[in-house]
Amino acid sequence: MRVGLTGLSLIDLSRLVRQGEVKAQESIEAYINNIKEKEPRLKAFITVTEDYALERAKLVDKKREKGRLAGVAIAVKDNILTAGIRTTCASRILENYVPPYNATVVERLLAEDAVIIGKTNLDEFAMGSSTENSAFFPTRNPYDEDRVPGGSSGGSAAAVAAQEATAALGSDTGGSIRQPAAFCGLVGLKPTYGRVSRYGLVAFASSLDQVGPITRSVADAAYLLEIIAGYDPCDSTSARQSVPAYAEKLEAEIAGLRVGYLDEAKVKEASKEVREAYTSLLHLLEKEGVTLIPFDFKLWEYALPCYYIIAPSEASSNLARYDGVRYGFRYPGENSLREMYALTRTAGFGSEVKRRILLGTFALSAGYYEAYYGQAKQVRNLIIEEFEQAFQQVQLILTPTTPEPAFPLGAKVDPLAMYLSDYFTVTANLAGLPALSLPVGLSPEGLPLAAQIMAPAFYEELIFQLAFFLEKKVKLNRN
Amino acid sequence: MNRHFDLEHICRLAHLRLEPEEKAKLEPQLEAIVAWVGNLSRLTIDKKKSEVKPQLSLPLRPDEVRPSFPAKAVLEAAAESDEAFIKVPKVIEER
Repeated sequence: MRVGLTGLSLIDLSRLVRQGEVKAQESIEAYINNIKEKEPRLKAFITVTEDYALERAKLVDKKREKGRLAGVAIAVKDNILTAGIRTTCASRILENYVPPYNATVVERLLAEDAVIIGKTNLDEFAMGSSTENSAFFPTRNPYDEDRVPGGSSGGSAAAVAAQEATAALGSDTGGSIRQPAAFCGLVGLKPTYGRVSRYGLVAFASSLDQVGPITRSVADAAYLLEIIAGYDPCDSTSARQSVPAYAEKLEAEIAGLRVGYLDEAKVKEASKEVREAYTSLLHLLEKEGVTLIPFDFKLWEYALPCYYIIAPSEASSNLARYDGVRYGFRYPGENSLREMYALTRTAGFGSEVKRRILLGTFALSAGYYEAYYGQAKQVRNLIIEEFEQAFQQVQLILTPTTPEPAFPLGAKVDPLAMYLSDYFTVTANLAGLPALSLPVGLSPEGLPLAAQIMAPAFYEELIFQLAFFLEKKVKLNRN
Repeated sequence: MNRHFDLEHICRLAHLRLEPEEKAKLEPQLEAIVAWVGNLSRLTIDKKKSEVKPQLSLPLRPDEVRPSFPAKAVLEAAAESDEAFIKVPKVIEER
């Protein structure tokens, strides 16, 4: 095994495999070795597909014409369906579920000769911000193993940060790609709603969910998005828009860009180190000739409560299908149908999932629907309108990604305190906009700090360009 | 608003049963969350501005016959099956 294969970027590794300088098998063996060494502590994966991955790598090596992801190890969040590979959503209710088909994003990875190295841990059904809500075990942050990797795509982020995978897929309903990417010093993109197919992504909140890449560099994120994006007839909400060659257009003139930023009042709840990193980033941009425009977003404070009505409402409806009939766990015994439903769901779901199902059921129930769900839908429309107005003045918006760096395991027992982790991220989901998190510094304790770049719908290209520029400017001491 | 939060009723609607300890823990949490999300009602909304905007287009795929999943694969995922059927407990209950 050659030293350093697992540290290569996705673009470099796939090129070396295509050129025949590295064998796919050699690459995958290096990752498997890393996984064996690190997994006992990190626990990023629910399932490691060692035998399957090595078989696939051998097949890739035999191919004369290799795809764009030849020999790279991709970790897939365990709420994205993989045919023949157990997909649990980190829930007891799907503990032994083996899907009969692949998600469209997985099909697209495989078509380019990627190797699925395993299925990563998450907060049960993607509900959480720390991966502690997994029904199986929590995942640890590779930067500090006493801290959370973020969530809900915490396993995906930890795996990429620890070089257990070249890159990963996550899903983002309120920040679940960007926040773990921020906590683990990585790049994470939530694409525009409709940019990437949701077919085969286990539904949490269908109007908010998107699949996206978690990578160690901006270029890798751009390259991976190019492959997974695009229209899919199996997802009626996927957009019929062509996919630009993002990775070829990363170099761009930054001077003269108009970038909106959040005023002090909006970031006052963030920790000192987050505020300082944000301010120094703004100074850097100003020095580079970017025009900074303060952005008075009146409804920002209302986005979180709005999200925590809409997302649980959709979840309560989507999760009604787990009733012990068509798939997953069924509570044993001679019970009536109704008893079986209730016993199965009570035993199969964890506390946070129950909390959100109950909250959503309440918000949609007779007598409360208009006051809660109806009001939230209207607020969501006003948030969309505020963004439309903002993007008449600016091309991009820059915010911190998280209010604080990675917090210790077990630090947030109050669900409301956990929900506040999504303060900067939920607006992009409510408005369907693309948003990327990238590392911009380290806290005095050595924990990654991150910033978020948001753009109008389908302007991922512009996000990548600013992120690529910032990545070069902000030098990080990565571990 | 949360005075009317009736946890037992909501549990029945959601097909969930809570043990007394779980109920004692969840009830105050849910009341706090409902009170917090209820802050949205403080916003006075201009109904005209907040009208739902129809999506530009959601074209459907052509209505053509396509192969479906093999019945065997679907039945394998079910908790209990019998030949071509998914088995469920008796639906009609005696009173």
